[in-house]
Amino acid sequence: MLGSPPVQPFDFAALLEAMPDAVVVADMRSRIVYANASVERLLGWAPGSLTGEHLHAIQPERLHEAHDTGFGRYAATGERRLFGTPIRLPARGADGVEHDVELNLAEISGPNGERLVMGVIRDLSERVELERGLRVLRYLKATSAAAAQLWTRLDPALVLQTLTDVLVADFDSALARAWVYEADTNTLVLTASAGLSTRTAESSRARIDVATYGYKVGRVARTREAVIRNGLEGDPEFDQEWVTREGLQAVACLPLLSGQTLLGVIVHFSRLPLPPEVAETIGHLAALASAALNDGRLVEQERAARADADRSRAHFELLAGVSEQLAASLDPEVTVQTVADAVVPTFADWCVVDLRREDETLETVASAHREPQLMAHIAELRSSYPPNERTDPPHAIYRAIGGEKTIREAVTHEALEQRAVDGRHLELLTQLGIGSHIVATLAVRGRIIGAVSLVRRPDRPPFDEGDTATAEDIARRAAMATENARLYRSAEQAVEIRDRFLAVASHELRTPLSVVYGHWELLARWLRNDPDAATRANADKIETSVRRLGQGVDQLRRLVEELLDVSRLAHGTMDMRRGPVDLAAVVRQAVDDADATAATGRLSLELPEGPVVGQWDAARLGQVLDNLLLNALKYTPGEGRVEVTLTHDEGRALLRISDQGIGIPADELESIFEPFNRANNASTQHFPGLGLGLAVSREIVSRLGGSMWAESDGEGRGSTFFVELHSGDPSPPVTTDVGVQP
Amino acid sequence: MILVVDDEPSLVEAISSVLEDEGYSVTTARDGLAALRAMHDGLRPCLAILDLMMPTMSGWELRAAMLADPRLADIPVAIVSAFARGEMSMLKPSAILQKPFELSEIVELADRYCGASS
Repeated sequence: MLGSPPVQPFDFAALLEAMPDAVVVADMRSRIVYANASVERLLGWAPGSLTGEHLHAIQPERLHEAHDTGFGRYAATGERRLFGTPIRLPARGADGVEHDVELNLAEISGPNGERLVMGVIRDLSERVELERGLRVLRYLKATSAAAAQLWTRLDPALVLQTLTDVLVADFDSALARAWVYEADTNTLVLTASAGLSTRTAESSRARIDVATYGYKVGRVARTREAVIRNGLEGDPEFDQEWVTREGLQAVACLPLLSGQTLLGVIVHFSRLPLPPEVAETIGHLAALASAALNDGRLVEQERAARADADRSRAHFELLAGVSEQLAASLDPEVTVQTVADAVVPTFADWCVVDLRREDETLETVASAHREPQLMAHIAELRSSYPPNERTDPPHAIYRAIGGEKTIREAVTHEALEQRAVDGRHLELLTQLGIGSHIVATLAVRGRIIGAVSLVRRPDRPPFDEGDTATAEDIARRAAMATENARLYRSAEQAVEIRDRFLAVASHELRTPLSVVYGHWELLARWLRNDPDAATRANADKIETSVRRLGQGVDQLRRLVEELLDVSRLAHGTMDMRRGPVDLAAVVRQAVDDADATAATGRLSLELPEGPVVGQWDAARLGQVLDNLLLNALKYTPGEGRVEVTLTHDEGRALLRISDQGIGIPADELESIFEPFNRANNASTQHFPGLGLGLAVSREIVSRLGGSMWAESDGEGRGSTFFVELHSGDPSPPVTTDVGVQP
Repeated sequence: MILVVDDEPSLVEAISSVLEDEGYSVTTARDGLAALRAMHDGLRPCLAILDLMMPTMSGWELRAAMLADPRLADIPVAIVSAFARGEMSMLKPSAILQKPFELSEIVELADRYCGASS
């Protein structure tokens, strides 16, 4: 190192020119009298051009005043404050760029003994370079340390908080902030912040509208390009008082990207300048954070996809289970119960299946609860507090059936309190537990046959959109299986009815056949034993037998006719021959006939004055009358009477046939009119009959535009059959017969 | 005395006629209850011919009542029915006549159970 004098007498000029350090010599007026080649190279001056310049030429302007003061004092007093120690300060190049240099001062004597000052200037840029390198190294080390932390964080908020913390702890950040980008609203949401507590997140910046925000953060989000700004003095985007107070040197604003997809934006206020290679390390850190954010996003997507897959699998397993169970039975009640059992407890905590009866009321046919001891609660709930259609809003089942749509809703305890009719009702609902429910309708060929109600308790996640689809699938399968079972059952019943009918028919045919056979045999015996029998005293007996034989044949004919009518009824080919008919005459004739055959004195008849005329079929009406009268007499044992009354009033003819017979159970007043069906008491008490007469009679009356029904006070209390016909005005024309009658 | 129980008068007439022609005396009842009353009043037929399907009291019920009464249990019973034979074994009949039957079968039964007496 160069020290102070002594100066030896040898070629200093050559030595100075050769030195790598810059040497400047100035006089006491700060005039440069010598500068070696190194000075000119370092500061960018042309060779020889510095000589004669003021020292201000190589000093930044801000230091001029301090130089003038200090140098003036030294020139006047010789006080050497800055001599002997290396001074670090900036030097100004010819192009105005400042250079970090180290200055060593010494006083020398000029050729004429005048005082001169020599400055040896060493360029420190390498050291600055080195320091900068070390800073990059430190930042990269911090980046790799941060990587481990960022990697393990999948939640975006945690990733960004880690990022801002690292910036403040290891990257000389005075303030670091991070926003998450929400693509659907094109908004940045402030998610993490670290550093200066003096600059807490202002509410206006908590959410940034990317489209309109004019400052750097908005621009970066729009362009997806980083902005690095060194020297914040005079930048109108920043509060200058704050910048000076905190000694902020630079700002970096970077997008967090996955490909070109914007994930967020970070801002880093630095207390040190951010030359490009330093800024680059922050870029690395940001990239790392972006990757972590993206991973989190992918993991979240993957998790959602896996949850979806799990759900789908559970959905199909459930449906497969339900279908398998449904296929196993053809009994409707068993079928719906298997549905209830299949969905509890995996899909729902409890379940009720209600089917719609013909009168539109609901019948609970199956239920299940994950706690079997609560099944009694369900039964009590449905029997004591049946679903009400007239509440506001109506019970979910009625809303589902009425709207023909699936109802899915969350149910709060307050809602239950509102719905409950009384304390016990609320107690039942609460103990069964309702947090959410789905009511799906059971529909078959566009007809709603019932509903399945699926309920989850409050401690379980409520049903969501996907569950609605599952519930509808279950309901669809259950409805189909229920309908199949119902059809199977009715087919089975039809077969059973047909078999029973065949047995009854053969039995009914055998009795008149026995009569015919017996009397034919009697006649044959008599004729064989005595060919002249007919002329003898037993002529009466022969005549009786012939009559009985005729009656038996007639009875057989009637039965065969009845069977043919049923066939016509089934095929819709029972045609009417319409013409003016006096109903009073038809009734009188039928009563006379019946009285003659079976019921001397048991029949009474009451007719209106004059004829009762309408456009009817006399033969068919006669058939109806015969049928009703024979029935009344058949089911009225002993001496019981049968009253026949015909009234006629304003075009309405009403026939009543009342007996004192065995009566009809209330629930069979309708079914006795179905083909092959007979009232239970008629069968068990062994009254003969095919169970066809009433079905045929009602069909005839209906085809003549009238109606027919039965009333009874119950078993053993007689029955009354009514036939109502409209006289005078002929009812709409019905296909007239062209020879269908055999 | 032969008892004929049937709710079909025409059939009762045919059976009665052929039996009377053969010299038997016949009494008839329209249903099971009338027949049971007659037997409770002391009627002891040598043969009872029963139809099964009758109102008020069926042949099944009448036969059950007869079997339950020691005084009536031994009376020979011929069942007249349109049903198959197999179902009637529990009635312990002496004979089964399936409709339609021949009157000569009735005469044979009368000869077997009541023949010697008249």
